[in-house]
Amino acid sequence: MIEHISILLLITPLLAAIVVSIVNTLSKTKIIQKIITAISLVLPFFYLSIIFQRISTESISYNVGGWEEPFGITLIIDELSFILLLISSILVFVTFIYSLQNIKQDTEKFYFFFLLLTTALNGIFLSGDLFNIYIFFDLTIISSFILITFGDKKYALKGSIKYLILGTLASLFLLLGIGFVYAETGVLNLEYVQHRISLIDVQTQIVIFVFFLAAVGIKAAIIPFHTWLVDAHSTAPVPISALLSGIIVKSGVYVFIRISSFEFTLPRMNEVIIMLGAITAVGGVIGALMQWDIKRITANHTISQIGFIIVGIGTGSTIGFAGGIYHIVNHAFFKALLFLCAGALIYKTGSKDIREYRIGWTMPITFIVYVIGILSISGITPFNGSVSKKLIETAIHSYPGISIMLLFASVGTVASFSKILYYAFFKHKSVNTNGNDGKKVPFTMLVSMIILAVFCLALGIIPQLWLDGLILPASYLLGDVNLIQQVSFIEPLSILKEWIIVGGGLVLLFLIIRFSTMVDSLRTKISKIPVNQSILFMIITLIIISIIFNYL
Amino acid sequence: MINGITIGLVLFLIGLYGIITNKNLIKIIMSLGISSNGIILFFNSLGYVQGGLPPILTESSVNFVDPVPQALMLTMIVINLCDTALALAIIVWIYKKFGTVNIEEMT
Repeated sequence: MIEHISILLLITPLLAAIVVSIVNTLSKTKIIQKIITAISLVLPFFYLSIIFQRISTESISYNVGGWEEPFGITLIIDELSFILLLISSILVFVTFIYSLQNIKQDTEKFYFFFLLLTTALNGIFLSGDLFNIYIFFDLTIISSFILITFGDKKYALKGSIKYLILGTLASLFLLLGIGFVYAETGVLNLEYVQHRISLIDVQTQIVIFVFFLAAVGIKAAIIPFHTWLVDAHSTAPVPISALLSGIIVKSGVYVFIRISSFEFTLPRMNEVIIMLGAITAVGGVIGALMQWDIKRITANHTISQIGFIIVGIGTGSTIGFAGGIYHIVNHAFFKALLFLCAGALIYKTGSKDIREYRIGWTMPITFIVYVIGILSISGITPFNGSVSKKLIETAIHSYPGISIMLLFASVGTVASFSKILYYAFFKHKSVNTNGNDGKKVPFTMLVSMIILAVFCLALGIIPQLWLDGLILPASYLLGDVNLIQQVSFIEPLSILKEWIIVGGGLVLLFLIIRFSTMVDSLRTKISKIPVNQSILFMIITLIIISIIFNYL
Repeated sequence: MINGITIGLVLFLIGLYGIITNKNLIKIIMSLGISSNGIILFFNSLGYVQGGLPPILTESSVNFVDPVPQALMLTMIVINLCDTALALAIIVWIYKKFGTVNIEEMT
C-alpha cells in the first residue's frame, strides 16, 4: 500500500472526476457530486500524512508499470514536491468549500474540470521526467482555461482565449527545449538530466535555457511574458482566481526551480534571472497602482510577488532558495485569502470598482481577515510575508540595486492595498443603500477565508513550523551549501524599516490619488496592446537574453 | 543541412511568425497548429537512424530507429488535438458573443 501512494495521489481526483460526470447523467441531485468531490479532496491529506513520516529519511520514487528508470515513467516525491503537494491540497480544498455557495450554475461541469485541474497539479509536482511535466503542464492549461469561462461571461472568454494561445505557445516552447535535451543527453529523467547537462556545449545550453525560460516564464507570469495573467485572473470566477494565483502560477515556478537546479554552466545566469525577477516585482506593482478594479489590483500583485520568488531562486544560494520556496507557500495562502475576500466584497456590493464600494463597518469578519491578508502581503512582522521577504533580502545583500527595486515594490504594495482599504472601508462611513444590502456573505465563504487567515498568522508567528522540517531540507538539495547564513526574524531595526515602508506607501497613495487622471490615461494606452505584440516583445526579450549569454 | 530537424525548426518559426502577424483568432490557431507540426517533425527526426529498422524486438539486427521520440509524439498529437478542438469551441462562443473573431475588434 505505502509504495503506491504516489500514484494514488493522481488516481483519486481523476477517478472522482469521471464518477462525478457519470453520476450527473444518472441523477440530477447536486448533493451527491459535492460529497464525491469533497471525499476525493480530503483523501490526499491522508496520503500525504503517511508520506510525511518517510520523507524525512529518503525521497520516494515510484516506477509506473514497473519500468526501471531512466526509461520508464517515474513519480518522485522529495521535500520540494511534498511542500507544493501539501499547499495545493489545502488550497484546492479551501476553494472547494468557497465554491459551494459561489458557483451556482453548471456545477457538474465545474466540479469535473476542478478535479481534472487537481489531477494535473498533483501530476506536475509528482513527475520525475521532463515529458511528463509537459503533459501535466498542458493539462493544467486546458482545465484552467475552461474553468475561467465560468466567470463573467463576455470578458472571461476574452481572458481565456488569450490564456489558451499563450499557454499552448508555452507548452510548445517547453517541448522544443525537451527535444534539444533529449537530442544531446538521450535521457528525460530529471535526475539524469541534471548531471548530464553540463556536458553539453555552451551554445546548445543557451538554446535549451532560453526555450525553458520562455515556457516557464509564460506559465509563471515573469515580465515580459505575463500578459495573459491579469485578464485571465480578473475575469475568472473567484475560487478559480484564488487557485490560479495560489497554485497554478506556482506550478510554473516549480518547473523553474527544477530547471534552475540543472547544472547549467552559463555565464551570468544568476544575474539574468535576478534581473528578470526584480523587473517583474516592480512592473507588477506599477500595474497594480494604475487599476481601480479590485481583482485586477490583486492579479497584478501576483506578478509582483512572483518577482520576489524568482529573485530568491535566482541567487542560487541556500538561503535564497529557502526564501523563494517559503514565499511560494506564503504567497499561496495570502493571495488566495485576498482573492476570496475580494470575492466576498463583490458578492456583497455587486461591483468590482473600488470607488463604488460604500461598505463602512457592515462586514466586520471580512474586514479583519482582509487586513490580515494585506499585512501579510506587505511583510509586516508577525505575519507570514515578513519571514520570506527577510530571507530573500538577506540572500541579495550583495546586489544593492536589486534591493532598492524590491524596496520600491514593497512600498507600492502597501500603497495599492491601502487604496482598496481606504475606498472600500474608510472613505464613506455611510452604507451604500442602493446595492444588495440585505445580502449576507454565506457561512461557507467565511469559513474558507478564516482558515486561510489562520494559516497566514501561524506561518508568520512560528516560522520554524515549516522552515526546519521541510523548506530548509528542500533548499539544501537545490542550493549552494557553502552559502548558509543565520537570519533572525524579529529585530527592532527591521520592524522600524517595515513601518517606514508603510509610511512611504501612504505618501505614494496620496500622490497617485492626486494625479489619477494622468494614471487613467496611461492605463487605457497600455490595455490596448493586443496579444500579438506582447508575443513579439517576448521573442525580442528571448533574443536579448541569448545575446547576453553569448557575448557579454 | 536539409533534414527533418532543420525543417521542423523552420516550420516552428513560420508558425511563430503567423501567430505574431495575424489578427484573426482562427488563423492564430492555425499558426499554432503549424508550429506544433514542426515540433512533431523535429522530434521524429531526432530518433531517425539511416537505414534503421522498425523498433520491433527481433533476433536479426540491432540497428533500430529510436522509438522514444515517436512514443512522445503520439502523446503530444493527442494533447494538441485537444487544445485545438477546445480553442475552436471557444472561438465559436466568442463569435456568438462579440460578433467578430478579430482580436483588436473584441471590446
